Amino acid sequence: MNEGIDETKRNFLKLMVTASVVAGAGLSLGVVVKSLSPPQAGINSFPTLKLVDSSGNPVLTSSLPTNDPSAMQFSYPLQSTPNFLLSIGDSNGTPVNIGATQVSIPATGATYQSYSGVGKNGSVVAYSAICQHLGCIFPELRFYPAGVESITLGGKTYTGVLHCLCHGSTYDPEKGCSVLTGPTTHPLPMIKLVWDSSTDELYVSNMVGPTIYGRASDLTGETPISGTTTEVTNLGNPFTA
Amino acid sequence: MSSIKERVKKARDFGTGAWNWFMNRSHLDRLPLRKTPDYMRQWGGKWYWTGALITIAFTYEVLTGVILLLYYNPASPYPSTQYILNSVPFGKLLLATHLYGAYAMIVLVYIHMFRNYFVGAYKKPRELQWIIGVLLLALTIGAGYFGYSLSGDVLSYDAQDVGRGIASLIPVLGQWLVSVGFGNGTTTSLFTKFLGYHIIMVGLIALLFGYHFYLAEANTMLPSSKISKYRAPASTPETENMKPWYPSNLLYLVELGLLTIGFIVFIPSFVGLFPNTPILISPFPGPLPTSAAAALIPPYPPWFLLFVYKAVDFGMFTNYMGPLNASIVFGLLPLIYFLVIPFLDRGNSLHPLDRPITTSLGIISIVYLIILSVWGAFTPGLIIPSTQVALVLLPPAIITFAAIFGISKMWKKGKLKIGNKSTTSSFFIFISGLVVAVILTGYSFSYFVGHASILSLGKLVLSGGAMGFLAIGTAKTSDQLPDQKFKKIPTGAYVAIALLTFMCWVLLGLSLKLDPISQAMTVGMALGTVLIFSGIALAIYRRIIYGE
Repeated sequence: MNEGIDETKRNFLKLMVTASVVAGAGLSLGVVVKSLSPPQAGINSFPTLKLVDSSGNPVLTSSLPTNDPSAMQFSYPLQSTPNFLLSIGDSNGTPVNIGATQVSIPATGATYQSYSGVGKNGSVVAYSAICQHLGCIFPELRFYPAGVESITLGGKTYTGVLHCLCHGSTYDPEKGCSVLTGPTTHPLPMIKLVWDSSTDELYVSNMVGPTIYGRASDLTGETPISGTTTEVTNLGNPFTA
Repeated sequence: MSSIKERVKKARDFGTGAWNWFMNRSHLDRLPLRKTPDYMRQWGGKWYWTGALITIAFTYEVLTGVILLLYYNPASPYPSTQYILNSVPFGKLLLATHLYGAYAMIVLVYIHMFRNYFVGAYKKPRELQWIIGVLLLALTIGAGYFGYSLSGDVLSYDAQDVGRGIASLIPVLGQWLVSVGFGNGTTTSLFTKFLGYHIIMVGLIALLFGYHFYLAEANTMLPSSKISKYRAPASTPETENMKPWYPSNLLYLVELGLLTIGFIVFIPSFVGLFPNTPILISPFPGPLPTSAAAALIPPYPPWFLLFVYKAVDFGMFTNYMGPLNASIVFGLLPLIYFLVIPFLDRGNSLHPLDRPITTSLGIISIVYLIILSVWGAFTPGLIIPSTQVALVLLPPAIITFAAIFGISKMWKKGKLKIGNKSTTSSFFIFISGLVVAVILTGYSFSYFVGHASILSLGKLVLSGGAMGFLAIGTAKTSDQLPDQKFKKIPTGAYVAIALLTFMCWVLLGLSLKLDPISQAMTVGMALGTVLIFSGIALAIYRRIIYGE
């Protein structure tokens, strides 16, 4: 140790050296922190995809059974983001013409316009199949067709609803899957179906409503779907399994 | 006013109390870290810290490796490597510097080993410390082999095929070893095993290093020849007048860390700027083995295995068992020799000229390592007839033995006085001269080999590098700067430190604006520069304040 050196001058040098080391350490830390978080996979806009079955043939609305509790699901807008494809009927099994309606998000008070049903009877709709409360999926989140299956909550019986068995959230598929019972505070996002009346084929082209559960945005956080089709899979009837 | 002063005093007391509590409970102030004499931290004392440099490089490898592990997928090795290069923020920088950090570690392990070999550090009481060190060399090269093979590029598949081929030749155990080492034949099995072995070997390195370091602290550093008088056992007992470990040694280690990591980050970032760098030094993986570009790549192993690779091409090893025999003669036998040297060279003299056989074998090892590697780099896959092998390899051995024994004899008779300051340093300079001479001998044979111009150029570059390294390094070992005391801080120091700090912050500011994916290597150059600059600033500070 050199004793003769003025303490203040020494501290000045100490500060300078510390500052340069801090610059190096800070930059290193920045590199590490950035490298830990990869850019999210995804796409820039909603694709238009044709709904097909497992053999690649188009799904026709006339072949969709009304009020079927079996889960018909397809991925959109990215891979393994499941959605229900439903044909809604009344308690007699007659298809219901579903019109566009104002849906509110209880959590924020915001509202949006849902899509109307498509097909010959206007009864075919599609919703995200991930519960907005805590992300449960089929078979916990399932369709209770009117007059076929029902669920009693707090003394009140619901039928013709989507209900999640995890924590009891209930949605109304005739009204854009608006919230019927909590604990969820968000409706299920709705997928825009486009119906080709000449061929009876179905396309999906957009979404409306809250962001898909657990995603920063509908278009990121997942692997994109390749090609121009998405496959509809029948996951079976949860009530008879 | 007084209340503010009281509050400041209270806060200060609280801080001191918390610090004292932490030091008391963590026992960090009682770590068994040795104090060291000043001459080891002074300019030219870096030879005493080659182990520390390896530890720093190893730490860098673990940190970057852990981040890469979060992205690597052994089921699709090449695509996940490409993903790291092209999509992960700073992924390119991490992968390239992980590779070059490994290169640095391997080179430093060799330097550490040969330095301690020539000064006789393996002698009593450090025999076990030395043996563990040699095992660490083998593990480091092993971890390098497995890590290098993870990228799934053409070199990685070549390295695996050759490794598998050599392993399968081992009698009785061969096929079993192949399935243990290389899996069931599927890509996923192969790369899952390689990833596992890479990490297992690093874990073993960490464990053995821990013990190696403990032994180094327990045995203390081998002191300078002025103190040991070239007699084993020699140690560096702690004395009252040594500076405390904190801050003297800590600051020195921080300086070494900044400089080492600075160069590990800077060099590949700089090399990465140039397109089409030769595959042996490219900081990035090569093409897929199934791609058209792969046909242009020579069937190389990583450069640190080139010496065995060339030996496999020797005429006497071209029979069925040849590759295994070549690996035994040029890989396993030298390793065994270094493992048992403490029991072969048992005298108590530490002077290189007092141990002519040991010294000669050490020089020949270095010379062969360099000749075989360069030969492998410039004549990949070319069979060398046995007579030509003898012509290239025997003369250096004969020259070395004759020269060392002659000099040793003269020295023992007292006819030879090498230098005034330190015989060791002059001796090292002598070694470097001999290495160059020997390499030039090899060079004169190069026209037998063909590719004469490239080969000669490569040999000149390497011999020049070896000479420069040995000469500068060894010269500085002896010519320690005097322990200069400053009564006043020189103006130059102010200017230099302030300027370095200023540039560090300018580079930091500029780097923040760069894109972490497309400009990762530019950030790497900036980061490397900042680390090196701050290391230099710290060096100047230590020189002024501590006179080191």
